[in-house]
Amino acid sequence: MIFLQVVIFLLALACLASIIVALTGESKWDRLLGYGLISAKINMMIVILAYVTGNTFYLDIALVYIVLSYIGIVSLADYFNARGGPDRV
Amino acid sequence: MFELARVIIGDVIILAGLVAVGIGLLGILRFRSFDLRLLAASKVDTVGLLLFLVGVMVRSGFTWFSAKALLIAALVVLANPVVTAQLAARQREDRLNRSEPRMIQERAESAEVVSTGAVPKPVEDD
Repeated sequence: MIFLQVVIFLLALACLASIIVALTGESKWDRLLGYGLISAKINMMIVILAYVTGNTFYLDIALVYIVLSYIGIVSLADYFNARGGPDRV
Repeated sequence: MFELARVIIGDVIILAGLVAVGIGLLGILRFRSFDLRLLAASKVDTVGLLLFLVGVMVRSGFTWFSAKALLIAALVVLANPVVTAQLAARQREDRLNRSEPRMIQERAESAEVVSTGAVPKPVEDD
């Protein structure tokens, strides 16, 4: 069990690096990519937590979060092209 | 005995997923162009998620937990490349709209000709 806790901690560090990528991106597309990275890392953490605690329903949460993040990224990308977006931070 | 082997193999697979995530982060921080960053991010995140799911499946054996994790893995395999392609296409369209807006218009016109068969009238020069 200690190995999985170390894995979760390292994933949290990777999530922090993804937040830095999302905040210091040069263009709006870089920041959108950062959001996708954060979402992926959090999904990995949810999957590991679902195994560690033994509750199977945490995987349903991960499934819903994956689908919602996909929809959000694609709709934001479409919005950036159709109506423009934040060019500066 | 069998349980120990399953746990060790699952741990190795989860460790491989973690290594993949680390390599991807290194690539994203070092690349200078958006296309390369997108390539690294998408590949590595897909592979990382899949390896984590397979590792957890191996660790827990034949249960409903593994069935749900398999469903999530199938969804990730199907949907992640679509999102990457959408991001790349829209960023390219945005970039070309800023630097070469005429090219997008010509492409749209030629697509119209191909799909409807109608030829646009030539512009009259007075």
